[in-house]
Amino acid sequence: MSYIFLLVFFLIGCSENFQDIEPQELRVISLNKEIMCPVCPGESIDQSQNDLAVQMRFIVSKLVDEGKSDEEIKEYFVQRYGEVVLMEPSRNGLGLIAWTVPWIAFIFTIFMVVFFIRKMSSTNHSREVE
Amino acid sequence: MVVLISLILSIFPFVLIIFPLIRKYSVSEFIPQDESSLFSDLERRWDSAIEGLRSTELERMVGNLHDQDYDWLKNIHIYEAALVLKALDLSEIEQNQLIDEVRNEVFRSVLITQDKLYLKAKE
Amino acid sequence: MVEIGQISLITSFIVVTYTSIIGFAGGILNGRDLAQSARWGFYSIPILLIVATITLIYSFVTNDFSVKYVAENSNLAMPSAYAWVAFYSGNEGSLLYIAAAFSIMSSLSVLILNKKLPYTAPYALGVMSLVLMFFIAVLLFLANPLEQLPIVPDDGKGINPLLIHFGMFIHPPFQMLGLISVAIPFSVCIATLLSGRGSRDEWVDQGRLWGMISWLLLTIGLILGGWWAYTILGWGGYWAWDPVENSALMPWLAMTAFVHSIMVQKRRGLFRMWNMILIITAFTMAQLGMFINRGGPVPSVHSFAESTMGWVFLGVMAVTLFLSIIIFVFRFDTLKSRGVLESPISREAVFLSQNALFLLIAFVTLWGTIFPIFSETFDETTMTIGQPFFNKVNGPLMLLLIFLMGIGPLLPWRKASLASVLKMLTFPLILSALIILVCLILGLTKIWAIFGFFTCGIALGGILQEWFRGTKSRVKRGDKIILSFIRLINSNRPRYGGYIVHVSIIMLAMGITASSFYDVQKDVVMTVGESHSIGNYTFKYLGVSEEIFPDRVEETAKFELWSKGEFIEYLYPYRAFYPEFRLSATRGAIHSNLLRDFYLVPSDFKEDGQAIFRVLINPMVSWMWISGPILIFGTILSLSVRRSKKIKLPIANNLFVSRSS
Repeated sequence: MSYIFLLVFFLIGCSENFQDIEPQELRVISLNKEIMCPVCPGESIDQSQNDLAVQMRFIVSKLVDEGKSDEEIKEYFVQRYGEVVLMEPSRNGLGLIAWTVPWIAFIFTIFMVVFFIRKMSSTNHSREVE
Repeated sequence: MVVLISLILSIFPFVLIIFPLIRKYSVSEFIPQDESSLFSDLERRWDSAIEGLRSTELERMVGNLHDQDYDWLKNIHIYEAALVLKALDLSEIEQNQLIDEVRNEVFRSVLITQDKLYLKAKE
Repeated sequence: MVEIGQISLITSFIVVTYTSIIGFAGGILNGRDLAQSARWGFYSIPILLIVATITLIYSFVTNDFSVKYVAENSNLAMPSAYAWVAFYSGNEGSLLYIAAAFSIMSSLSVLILNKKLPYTAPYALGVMSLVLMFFIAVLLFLANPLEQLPIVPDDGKGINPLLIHFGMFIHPPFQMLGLISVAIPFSVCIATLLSGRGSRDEWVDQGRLWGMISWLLLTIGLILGGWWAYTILGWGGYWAWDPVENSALMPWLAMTAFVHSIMVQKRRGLFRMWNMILIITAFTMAQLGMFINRGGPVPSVHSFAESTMGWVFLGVMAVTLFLSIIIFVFRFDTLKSRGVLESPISREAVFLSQNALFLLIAFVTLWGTIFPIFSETFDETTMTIGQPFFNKVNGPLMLLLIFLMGIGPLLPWRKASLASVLKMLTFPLILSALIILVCLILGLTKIWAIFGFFTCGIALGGILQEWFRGTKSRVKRGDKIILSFIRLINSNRPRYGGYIVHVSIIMLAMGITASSFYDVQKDVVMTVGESHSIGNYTFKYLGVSEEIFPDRVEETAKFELWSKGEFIEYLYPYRAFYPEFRLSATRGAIHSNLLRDFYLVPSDFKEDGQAIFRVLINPMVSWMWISGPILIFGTILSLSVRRSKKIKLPIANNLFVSRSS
C-alpha cells in the first residue's frame, strides 16, 4: 500500500505550477515549439539559442499581443521562410501523406497480428519427437 | 624502439594464427558436444518443460491461474517432459530417479495426488 | 608513436581478412584446427586496435599536432582528461573507437560462443570478422585518424565546446558500442542460418544473452544522451526527435522486441523465423543510424560534417540486408515452428502484438525521419517533421505499448481463460482508477496525461500485485517479509529481473508524461537584485561574474532560490562563449527533487546589466534519471543464471551424439 501512496504523492509535482503563467504566455510557448529555427536544422525556436531564434520568439510574442490567431502567426512565418519553418507538416497536400501513412501502417499492423495469431493457432504441427 | 615494437606487433598475430595449424593433435582430445545433436535438442526441450512446470507452480502460487487453467497447463508440460523421457529410452531406475528429482524440485510446495508424470512416461 | 598505431592498423586488417575467410572455412569443413587458428587470430585484433587507440590518445595528451586528427579536434587549452572525449569526437576517431570496442566485445562473445555453440561459432566469427573488416578498411583507406600533416601547426582547432561535459565521457561510448554490438546477436543468427542449424533452437540462449547486452548498452546510451541534452543544451528538454536521436531509437525498439520474442522461442519453440527477421531488422536499423550519423541526407544537430562517408555506410547496409535476406530465404525451411499458438489469450500472443507494435513505432519513426527527403524529391517543397508530429503519432502508440507491458506478464504461457484474466486485472484497474481520481482532485485534467498515468498505473499494479502475492505466500510459510521478497526474486531471476526493468520503464514513462504535459516555462528579464517567482519558487538575481579563459569567456550568474519563504540554495547557471567556434554553451542550474526540477538557464547577458533567463519547472524529471540504474540492475539480474536448479539428463546409451542428419 505504501507504494501506492508514494506514487500518488508524486503526482502533486505536476499540479500547482501554473498560477503565475498567463494563458497568453502559454500560447506563445506552444507556438514557439511549433516553429522551426531556419538556420539551426531540426531545432524549434523555443529550443534554439541562436540570435535569429531569439528574434523570432520576440516576433511571435508581439503577434500574439496584437491579437493574431495561431494560424495567422504560422502563416506569417510560412510566407517568409516557406513551409519548412513549421515543425509538423500541414494537413493538406503532401503533408497529408505524412499524417496518413502512420494510420495505414497501424491498421495494417492490426490485420497482420490477427492474421498471424489465427494462422499460428490453426496449423497443427506434430509435437512428436523425431 | 619504435621499430622493435612495430615488429613485435606485426609478428605476434601470425604466430597465433599459425600455431594451431602446425600443432599435432593428440588422439584423446575432447570433442565438444554438437549443439544440433538430438540429445542437445532433447536437453533443451526438457529444460523448457521443467521451466514451464516451475512457472506454472509459481503462477498458481501467486494466484494468476484458475484451477482449470492450472491443470491444463501442468498436463501439457508433463506431457512434453514425458515425450523427452520416452525418446531417451532410459532404464526404469534412471527414469524414476529423474522423476523424483523433478518432483522435489518443482512440486516442493505442492502436494501431488496423482503421479501423472510417471504414468505418462510409462505409456 | 603514430607509426606504431599505423602498423597495428595494417596488421589488424590483414588478420581480420584472414579470420573472415578461415572462420567460414573452418565452419564449412568442420576443421577444428582451422577454426582455432581463426579464433586465435581474432583474439589478437583487440590488442592491435587498443594499441592504435593508445597511440592516438597519446598524441592528444602530448599535443602532437602533426597528427591531422589531433590538430582538428583539440588544442593546447584543452584539459588532458578530455583527450578521451576528443578521441571519439570526430569522424575518424569515433570509427577507431567503434572498431576497437567492437573487437573487444566480439572477442568476448567468440570466447563464450565457442563453448556453448562450438559448431556454429566459426561461422559467427566469420560474420563478425566481416563487420570488423569493414570498419578497419574504412579506417585505413577513407578516414585514417593517424594521418599526419606535412606542416605541423602551432595549435589545434580545439574540441567542440558542447562536448565538454561529464556526460560526454560515457554517453557516446555507450551509444556507439550499443549500435555496433547489435552485430553480435546478428552474427549468431546469420551463423545459425549459414550452418543450417536453426531447426532446434540452438542459438536461442546465446541470441538472448548478446541481444540483452546490446539492448542494455543502447538503453544506457539513450538515457545518458537525454541526461546530457537536459543538463547542457540549455533548453530544458531531453528528447527532440532529431534524426540522429531517432536513428538510435529505432534499433533500440527492434532490439526490445527481440529480447521479448526470443523468450517465446526459448520457452515454446515458436517465432523461429520472426526472431531472425527481428534481429536482421535491428542490425539494418543500427547501420541506418550510423549512416545518418555519418552525414546522411537528413539535417541534424549531432551528425559529423562528413558527406561522402555516409553513402559508404548506406551501400554496406544495402549489401548486408540483401545478403541476409538471401541467406534467410535459402534456409527458410529450417525455421518451422515446433509448437502451436494455443490461445489468443496467452503471453505468446501478447508478445506477438507487442512485437508488432514496436516495429510499427520504429516504422513511423523512420517514416518521419526520411519523409523530408521524399517531399523534397517529389514536390520540391522542403518540409520539416519535428517534435509535434512524433509526439502526436508515437505518443499514443507508446501508451498502448505500456498497456501491453502491463497485461503481458500477467498472462501465463500457452493459455488463460478470460475469467482469470479479469480476476488478475482487478487490482491494477483499481489502482489506475485511484490515480485518475487523484489527478482530478489535483486539477490535472489534460486527457492524454491522465491516460498516460492510467496505463502506467495498470502496468505498475500488475507487477505490485504479483510481488505482493508472491511474497505473501512465502510469508505464510514462515519467512520474514523482506527475506521472502528477496527469495521470491531469486526464485526466478529472468522473470523478476524483467519486472524490475518494467518498473524502471514505468518510472521513465511517468517522468516523460509528467514533464511533457505539465512543464512550465517562462523567459524573464532581470536586473541585479531583482527577484521573481514561479510556482512555489522565488529566485533572486545576485549578479554575474565574468572569467576569461584562453578559449572561452565564462559568465556565471548567482541566484538565491527560495521556496515557500524558505531559503534552499544558491544556483550558478552559466554561459560560456567560444569565439573560435562562434558558439555558446549554456549550462542550466538545476535544483532537483523527486517532485520536480527547478531549472534556470541564462539566455543572454546584456551590456546594461540586464539579463535574460529562462526558468522551467519540470515535474518528475529526476524519475527518468533514477530509472537508469534500476534498469541496469534489473537487466543484469535477469541475465544472471543460477545453475544449480537445472535437472541434468543422463546421456542415454542408445543415442548417438553427433550432428543432426
